[in-house]
Amino acid sequence: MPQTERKNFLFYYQQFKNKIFNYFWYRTGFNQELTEDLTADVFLRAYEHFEGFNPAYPFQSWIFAIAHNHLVNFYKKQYNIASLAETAATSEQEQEEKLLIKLDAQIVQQALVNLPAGQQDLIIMHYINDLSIKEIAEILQKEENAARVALSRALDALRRLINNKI
Amino acid sequence: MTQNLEKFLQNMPRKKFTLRGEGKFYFRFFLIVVKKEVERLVNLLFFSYKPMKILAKTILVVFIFAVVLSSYAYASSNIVRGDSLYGLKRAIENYQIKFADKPMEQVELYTKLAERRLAEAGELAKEVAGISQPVVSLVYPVFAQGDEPATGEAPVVEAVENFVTTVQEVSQNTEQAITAAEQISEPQQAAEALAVINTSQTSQTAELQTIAATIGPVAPEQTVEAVATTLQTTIEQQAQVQVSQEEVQNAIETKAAEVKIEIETSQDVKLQKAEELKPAVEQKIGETKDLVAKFKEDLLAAGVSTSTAEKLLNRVDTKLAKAEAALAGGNPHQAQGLLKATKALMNNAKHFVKQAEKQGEETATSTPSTEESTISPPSAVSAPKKSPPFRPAGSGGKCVEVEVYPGYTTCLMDEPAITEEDILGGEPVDQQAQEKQENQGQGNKPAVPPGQQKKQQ
Repeated sequence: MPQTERKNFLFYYQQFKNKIFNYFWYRTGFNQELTEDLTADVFLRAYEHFEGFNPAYPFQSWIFAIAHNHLVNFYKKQYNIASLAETAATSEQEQEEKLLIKLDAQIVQQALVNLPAGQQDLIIMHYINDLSIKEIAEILQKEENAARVALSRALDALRRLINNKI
Repeated sequence: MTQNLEKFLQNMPRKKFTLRGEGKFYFRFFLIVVKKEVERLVNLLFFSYKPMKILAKTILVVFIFAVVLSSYAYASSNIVRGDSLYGLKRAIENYQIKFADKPMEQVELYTKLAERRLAEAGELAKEVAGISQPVVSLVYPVFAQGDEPATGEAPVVEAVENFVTTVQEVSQNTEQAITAAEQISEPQQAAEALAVINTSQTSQTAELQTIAATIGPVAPEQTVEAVATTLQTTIEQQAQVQVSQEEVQNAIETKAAEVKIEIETSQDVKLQKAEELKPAVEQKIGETKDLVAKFKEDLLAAGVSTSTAEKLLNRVDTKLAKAEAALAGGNPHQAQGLLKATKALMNNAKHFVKQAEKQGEETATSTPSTEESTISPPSAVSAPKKSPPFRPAGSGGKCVEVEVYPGYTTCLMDEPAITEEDILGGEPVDQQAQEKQENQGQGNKPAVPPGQQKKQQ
């Protein structure tokens, strides 16, 4: 039994590791090392509670819920999101990566990290991680309509921030 | 851009989970799996008492950790002098040395250790080379003059020292392997041991050359000197090994030649002795032939039947013929033995003759004529079936109680046990019939056991 469990879990891990990585990458202001640690944390936490996972429900929602909660807890400890985002990208490699990203993308990214955490979640989950409104609503434990409205507002807020930057 | 923001967001760059991140995950995942397995094992071992459970878990985790750690330390060439696990690695190796009693085992072990040290030196060379270009070349003049290095230069000095010690150990281990090989007395095994060392030395030379290229000429003098010295020592040691190999090969060939000569000499001696013995044996054969002729006459004079005499003479003639054949085949010793056997047969012929004559007489009296045997059926020839002998209870077989007269029973054996009497042949039929008649003549007297019968008589 434990072997089958491990096998199943590693199958899910291979399928969703990049999505979770990208979620954290955007949410930590592109801090690679922190993203690596958080991604590993989430999957290990998921493995520890894998017995409680119901295969009838999508794994994606379950793992994103864990990722979201883990990030919230992490930020509660760190408290200052903005400073984290600013101090994150320090290594040479990260600097290089940032330079490679187009200027427009850079503006959007900067605007994105300046959004409130909840709105960042909505935008990243929907546009970067390709989650549906229904899935996001499940993860954030909201009504579907409420999630749709919140996403629309987040998009407006981002638009305003970009306009201000430009 | 803001108008197409949604589309733009969907096309934002995405990254793949990095290799380093995956490594972190898998390492921690492995630890969790081990922990879970340990928990499962502990639960299987019926530990219901909580402190006992904790203790068992701790012991198991420590044990697994120790096994994994020591295996890694022992197997990895990345663990080099200066690492925290290096002591563990050397401790395992020391145990191996202690357990290698035979010289051949020591040769293999020391050769292996020399190769290990060389692999470690390769790793350390990278370390030295990595720091040598910007820092070591600056540091080198400091400790080359014997001055103490500055505080920031301590790691560099340590790396260089580790490298030098490790490289020096390569030739030390090879030397020990050569010493062990010299202790092997068996030339064939010594040749094998030297071949192992020679092969290792060839690869060592190549590896040392690679190391020399890695560290380069700008490296500290100590490192360059250590590599150069070890390279020179290895080449000299290899030359020494090759000389020893030639010596051992010569010894093997000399020994083989000696053995060949020994065999040839012994064969020559044997042939010479056989040649010397040949005339004597030929003479003996002639004498034995005379004796055989006399023996034949004696047999006929003694009135021995023709068939018995023929049988005996056939045997004697066969042995004599074999003796002659052995002599002709160049084996006079065998011929001698056969002649001795022939004489022995003739000397003791009287006993065989007596026995044969006796048997002949017995067959003549006991068996009917051949004519009768061919005419009459086998049942008629055989002796009449005997009635079961009277036996008391307890003498074997199954007891059948027979009422001899009203109120008196006795035990008769229906399946008599085989006794000595049965094997040798019971009383003649006539006697039994006589006894029966006597019993009948006594009227209705009760049948009594044989013991009582004898008493009555």
